[in-house]
Amino acid sequence: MSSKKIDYDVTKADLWGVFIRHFGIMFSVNYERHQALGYLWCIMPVLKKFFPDKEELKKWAQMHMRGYYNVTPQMQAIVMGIDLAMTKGGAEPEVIKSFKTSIMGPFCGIGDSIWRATLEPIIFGMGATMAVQGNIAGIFVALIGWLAVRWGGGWWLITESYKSGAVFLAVIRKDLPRYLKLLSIFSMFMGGAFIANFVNLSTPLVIKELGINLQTILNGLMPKLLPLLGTLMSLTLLRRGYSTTKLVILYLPLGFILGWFGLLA
Amino acid sequence: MAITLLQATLISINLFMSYVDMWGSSVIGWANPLFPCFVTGVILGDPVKGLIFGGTFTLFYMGVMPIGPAARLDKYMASVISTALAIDIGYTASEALIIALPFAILGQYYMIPERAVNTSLMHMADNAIEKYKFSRLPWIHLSGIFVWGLPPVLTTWGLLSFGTAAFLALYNALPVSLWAALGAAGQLMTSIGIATLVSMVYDVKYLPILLLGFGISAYMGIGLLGAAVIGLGIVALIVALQGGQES
Repeated sequence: MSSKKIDYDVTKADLWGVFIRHFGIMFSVNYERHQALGYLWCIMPVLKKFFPDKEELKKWAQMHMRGYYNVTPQMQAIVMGIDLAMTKGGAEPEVIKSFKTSIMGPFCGIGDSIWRATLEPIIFGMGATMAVQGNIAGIFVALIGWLAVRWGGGWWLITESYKSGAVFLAVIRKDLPRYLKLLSIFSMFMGGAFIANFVNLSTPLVIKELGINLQTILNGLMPKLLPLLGTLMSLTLLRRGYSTTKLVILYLPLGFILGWFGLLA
Repeated sequence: MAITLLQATLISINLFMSYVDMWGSSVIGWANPLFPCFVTGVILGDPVKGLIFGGTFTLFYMGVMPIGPAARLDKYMASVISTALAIDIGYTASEALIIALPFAILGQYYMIPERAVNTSLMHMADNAIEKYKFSRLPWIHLSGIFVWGLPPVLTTWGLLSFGTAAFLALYNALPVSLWAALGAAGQLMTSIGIATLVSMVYDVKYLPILLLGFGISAYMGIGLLGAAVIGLGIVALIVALQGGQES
């Protein structure tokens, strides 16, 4: 109906407000609609300025509240930037709705692989590795690293995506498969490094009569062989549909028995 | 040394920050056990132990993230409880890990009713919009975090205030060899978190790349940052070789 451009210009302060709120998008996460209310809450201040008319505002709020919405929180900055740019450009509610719906799958995929599977483990992995040795610098490495990436990166994403609006989306859509592939390669590579750095499985088995120290033999075969085998076993089970919880419940007796007989430490 | 009521309260507030951070999509990273465990150590007067435990639990629960449609282990309550108990009673890190596992699973079961209760917030929001009461929306939204945070935080507070004696008795009653066996189980579980991370991006044809990353770290002892630099180099190499062509 009213596909006219909106006069209100979004200021830096408006975007900053949305950005700060997007840190709390998950507070009301739930079974039925996941982040629907959280998303509306984040952009509501700008929507109010876009639509002074109560009826119009209600129409938009109801659109955002309708149905399930879920995107990796760290990726919301992009969605909101593009959404606000398109809304200001005169897009109908239905256009925004279908944009948000179509973006869910790919953005969750990218978001999880960038933030969950790569950035967070690297930054906190480095901090935690130092912390385990009792080095207080681990706290600062993790905190400063995370703030720089999460706040710096997030703010860059929301301002850039608002500026380029629909163009940004087109670029991402076109090259998405390629980016995802490169990202998977990088994450798989890092996954290998995580195994060698984080998993500490060894065997204390020593047969004195024969002069056999099993771990020494295994080290000669390949250092960190047991961590690799253990992780590949977990990976196989996860891919067969085992949940993390089920694995924990399975590994408790398994590890206990192996540890009890001195095979694993 | 017993945990005082004041200490238990401070630790619980510290834990609540983890839930705010987790459902607030990692504002400052409090949702990783590193920070809340360190602060727990500070509150109990042993910051170094808090640091070491925080690091251990962060590595252990890496990849176990209770976000998204599926409920996962609650690493926050588990890490903070086990750090507090370990400092108070004297468990080692891998013993504390096992002691806290029931709480990680309990926390996961809390999330099911919590998520269901929050569904009612959606209908409250619908009604508010229907009546043009837009100013109610922030309150409806923000109340969600208390639904998420209070059950585990109150559990932790109650346990640390009144329940540590039971854990001390349990600890003294069990033989040392049993704890060693439990420690082995704890080490085995570390692989679950890493496997979860890998499974997010898994593709069988990239398995050699995983082995490459593993080999570089295992044989040469290269740490994470070094591996990340090499990994980025490999990606850059692929891009350079492909040129502008789409594959």
